[in-house]
Amino acid sequence: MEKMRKIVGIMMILALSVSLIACGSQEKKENGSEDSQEVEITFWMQKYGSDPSVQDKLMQELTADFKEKTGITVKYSIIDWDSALTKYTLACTGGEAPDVADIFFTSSLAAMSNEGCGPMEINDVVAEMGGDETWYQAGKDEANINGDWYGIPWRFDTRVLLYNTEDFEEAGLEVPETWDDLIKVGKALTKVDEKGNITHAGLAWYAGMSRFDQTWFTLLAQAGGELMNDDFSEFIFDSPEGEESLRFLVDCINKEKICASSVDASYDAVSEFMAGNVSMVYGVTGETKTSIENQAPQLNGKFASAVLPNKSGEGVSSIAFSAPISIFKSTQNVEASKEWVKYFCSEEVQLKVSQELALLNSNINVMEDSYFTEDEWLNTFVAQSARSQSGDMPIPEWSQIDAWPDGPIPAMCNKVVAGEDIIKSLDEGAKGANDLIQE
Amino acid sequence: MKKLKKTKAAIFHYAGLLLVSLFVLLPYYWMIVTSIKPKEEVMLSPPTLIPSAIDLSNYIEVWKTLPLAKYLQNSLFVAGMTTIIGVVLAVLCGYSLSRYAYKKLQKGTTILMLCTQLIPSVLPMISLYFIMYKLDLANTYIGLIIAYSVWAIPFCTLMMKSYFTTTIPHELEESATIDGCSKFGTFLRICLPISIPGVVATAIFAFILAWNDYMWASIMLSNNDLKPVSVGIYDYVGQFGGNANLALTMTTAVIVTIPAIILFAFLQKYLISGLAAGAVKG
Repeated sequence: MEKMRKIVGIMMILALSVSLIACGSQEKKENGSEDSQEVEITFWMQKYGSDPSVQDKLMQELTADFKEKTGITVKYSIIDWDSALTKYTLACTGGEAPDVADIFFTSSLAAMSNEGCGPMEINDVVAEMGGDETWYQAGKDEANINGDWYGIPWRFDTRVLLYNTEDFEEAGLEVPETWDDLIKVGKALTKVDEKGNITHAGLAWYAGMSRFDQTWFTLLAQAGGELMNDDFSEFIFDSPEGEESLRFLVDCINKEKICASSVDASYDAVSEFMAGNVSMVYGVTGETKTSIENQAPQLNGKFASAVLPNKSGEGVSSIAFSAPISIFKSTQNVEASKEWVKYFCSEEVQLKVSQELALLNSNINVMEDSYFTEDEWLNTFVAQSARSQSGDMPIPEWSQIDAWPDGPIPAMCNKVVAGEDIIKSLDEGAKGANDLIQE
Repeated sequence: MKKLKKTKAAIFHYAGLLLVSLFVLLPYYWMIVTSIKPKEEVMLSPPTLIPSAIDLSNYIEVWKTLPLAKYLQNSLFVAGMTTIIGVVLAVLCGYSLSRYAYKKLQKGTTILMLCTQLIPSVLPMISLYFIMYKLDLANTYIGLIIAYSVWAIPFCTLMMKSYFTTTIPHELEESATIDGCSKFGTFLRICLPISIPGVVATAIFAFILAWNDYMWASIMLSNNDLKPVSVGIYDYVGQFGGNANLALTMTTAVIVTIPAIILFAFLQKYLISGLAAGAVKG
């Protein structure tokens, strides 16, 4: 009797396990396409814009329009930024992968891929779409590896100066164009109490969670410095320009006392701007306007953007980033995926996407549309794009080197802001970065 | 004199409790207040603890910006199933370990289960992901439930084992056996009804573990229709970690805590007696 009960118990456990697995497979099959007549592809993209329902509605419209034109069904997934890199890493190393995706760190993902996984080379699609003169340099740098294209650049990001127009009018100031102007204007706008503590800062570096590396890349470019040599085999920022740019970053805080930024991760420059505690934020993104309109409507009509002031007033004054839409090698529907890429990255669709999601665009023709050029806020970004250089390095190790907070470059910037010796920190940062590319 | 000493002790006691309560409750207060503040006050610095006016429009708008009902439904389903599976298996295993395992086997099994709780959940993430993926369980409810159960069952088993050991006297079972009850019958009719407080405390822990989890769901799921609310709330967070809708995020957070509050409100007497009686001892 006891033996019979044990046998029955074991059989029940086995039956439960088998039914659980069968349910999982069945769910997966029901979710996927079994019908060989209908082509279905999957598309992953990250979340953009301030209202999640806008992106969902936009993608529904685009996929419906695409299906009407081509008969191909696109199942899109909007994934959050926190898990995006992990998901793409898993996708490139044998895990679940979409047919098409909105990727980033292209060099890193390509380096970790193998024959069956990872982004696919699509030189033919690029040729069909007008060739490499269609996109800004930052877009080309991100999507092109050793002469081959691994995606079509779409979204674009460059950084500009955000300033409070009311503060400037009251003080009778002009928008700064050089580092010297920035310090003069910053001093005129900064207020301190009797103990010398800043109560209203003229300037704040755009350094969310006390991450200063991207601000420093901008300053390095403005000082005429380079992160890497021409063939991207060595980091060379431990140079006089590297020291000058880091010193300017820190001097604005400690010597000129116009900037309240620090290593305090709770200090958020745009939040302080919205609270009326800062007059200028150095290096904001395009979506900052929507953030202010949503969360500080009292500032509507009282803020504007300007091209970032640089050392001399001419030449490069900002950094730019881009990201490509890529096809994964694991796709079973290469041609359908290429059709989707061509559709999604077409100028007409990209203009609509930029408008709905408040994004800038890597396509030069799209950025020359009146939507960008006739809007005061956006037109600054168009002007800035012409004075930007790539912020990301096209090397597989870049995602490690610029990893926040422990990558050698972000760590170097934080050490300097915290008060450590600039030369020593520069040397350590360059050594750390060079060690990683030599490993 | 004695009365004065007692009064002094009580004052210190309650002052300490008040401080700790403030420390624990302030973030929740902040969350609720941010969800009902007028838009102009959300980003003020220094911040306002008491809003100048109450604006409830966020509680309407949040349902338009997020498919919150769907996310809540997913969370309830996954957390509910994890709780049921976790509690059923934990009760059976915990009783068996407390009553029928030989001392060495009991000790060894307890140590093995404790060891699983010492491993940070991020460590086996990649290997478990690939196991799920190869079994076609990634991007499914079942895969998520199994992943949560893997973490919940050892903890729940340890809770139930110590509850059974410390709360149910052997004499009770012996008298049931003398009266002709089988072993399973003793467990089902005598021990289980007495263990309701412990079972409820265990169920609450399992529910909260599954309800709060973000990491597993965000890695395993790419299908937006299956997203639980712990992942769905991240729809407000942008590329640079910025949040252009802090008030709506706090509103979502308030709505998300409601099921847990309801659960605690109805079951708190069981939770407290379960914890006190030994569900977390040993």
